[in-house]
Amino acid sequence: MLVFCPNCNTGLPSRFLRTDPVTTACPACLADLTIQVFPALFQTGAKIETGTLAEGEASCYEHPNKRAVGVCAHCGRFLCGLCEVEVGGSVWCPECLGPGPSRPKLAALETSRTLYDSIALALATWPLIVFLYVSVFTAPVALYVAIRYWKAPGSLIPRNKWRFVAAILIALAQLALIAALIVAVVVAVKTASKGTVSR
Amino acid sequence: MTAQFPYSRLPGVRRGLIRKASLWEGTDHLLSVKGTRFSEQYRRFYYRDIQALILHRRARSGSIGVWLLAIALCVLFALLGSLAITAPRLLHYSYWIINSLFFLFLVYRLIVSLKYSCRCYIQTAVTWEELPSLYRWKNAQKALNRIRARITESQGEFAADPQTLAEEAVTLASSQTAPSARRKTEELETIPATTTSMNLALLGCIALLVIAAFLFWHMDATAQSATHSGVIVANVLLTLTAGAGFSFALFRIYKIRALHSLRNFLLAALGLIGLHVYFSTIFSRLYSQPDPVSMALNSPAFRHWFSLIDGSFSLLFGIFGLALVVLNWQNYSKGQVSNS
Repeated sequence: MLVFCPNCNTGLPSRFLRTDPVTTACPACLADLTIQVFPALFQTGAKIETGTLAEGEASCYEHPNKRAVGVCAHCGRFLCGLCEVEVGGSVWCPECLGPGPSRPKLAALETSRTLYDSIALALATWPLIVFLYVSVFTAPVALYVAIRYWKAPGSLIPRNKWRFVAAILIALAQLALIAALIVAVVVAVKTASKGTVSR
Repeated sequence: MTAQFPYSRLPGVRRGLIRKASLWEGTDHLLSVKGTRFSEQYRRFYYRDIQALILHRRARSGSIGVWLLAIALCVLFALLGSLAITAPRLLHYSYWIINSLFFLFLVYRLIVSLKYSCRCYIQTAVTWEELPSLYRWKNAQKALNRIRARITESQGEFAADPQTLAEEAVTLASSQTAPSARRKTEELETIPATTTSMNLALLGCIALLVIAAFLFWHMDATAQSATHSGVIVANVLLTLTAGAGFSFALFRIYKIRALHSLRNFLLAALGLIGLHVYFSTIFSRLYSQPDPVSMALNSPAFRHWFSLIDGSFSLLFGIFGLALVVLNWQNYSKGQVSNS
């Protein structure tokens, strides 16, 4: 069986493998399935061409007997057909792509990203909804996050910086309000103490 | 599609209060984006590797948060409409018109969820994944038409009839199981028995219903009886029971992807419990700060309205949770997917 029913995990017979999307029912659970298969389903592992080295030709860094067919975009090593890995339109060697600090920061290899703009905006706005007093702590943190991560890589998909701008403006407004409150309290305390002294 | 963002969006986006998902078309691969409000996870499916696209037509609820929000707004405007009898006629009617709009939205969403929803799966040689953004039939069809064109462009046409090729492949590897099948079987075997979690979730829902009844009584109770120590102890015990039931159930099922609708419900219910705890603390004798905010919150009018809203939400969550667990008991206890 090459394709399985997502509802009952039963292997589907070959008559279900269609090149055009046609709705049929699973023979086991009668689930409505629309299946379309592609040539990759029947492909076995492609054979990699690793030609033997002739005189005067460059050899692979890892396999001295193999002819080099490419150069690593990161470290410049010669690579044979077995060693070259194509990522994001350029060729890399397995060592450069392996884990560790030397691993290049390629968008094509990233599996997750943190959205600092959303974090900053949440820190600036959520305390306004319920826990107003918390903004004494969250407003400076929101401001810090927005400034610190302004240039950090955002989402892989289109997204502009309006959240950072909104977070900065709201946090600044909160800080201004807190400062005004502190000033008002200090002035009130001073006025009260002066009144007591004069009496 | 620009150099900075080499993707264009495919139809079908899933936007919940917490989770979101979308699908993007790249030059040589498909990008599935799943995430929360603060992070995104990416899965890339190269067109040359895609073996099959499978659409399973079935009922899907979509985001539970949207349902709860629409129900809450519907109930709120119905309450406002029924209470504003003495208000000007225009205001009175406008409440009912807004209520009807939310009601129509709920009916539309129910029909779409039951009749025009699906699950979409993508199969490669090493993985078998669901595309969470494609859960409405029309959007899934539109997106898959675009993906199909890309895959055909990348892989070309079949060398022979796929059914003949399949029979040959099956004969060749009759003793082997496809890696995708192995993966799915292993995944199903690792799902633990979830009956205890169901019991805990049910306990939490029942406690929530009792809290709702308690709040409806509390709404018009005198300040003296509302802050009686027995009342406070009962409230604390009920809240603890509901919170602990939901937390333990959530802890047990959090990683089981098949139970995501129950997980979303439990998260939302815990949020409600959190708000309930916050305001109950302010209303109780435990919090006696004479600051203006707590003084305003402690006014009989605010207490009345808050108890009404909190009680309505607790009642809705309790009934919804009970229905969700009881209707899907069989599927949930097996760890199977059911979002209907």
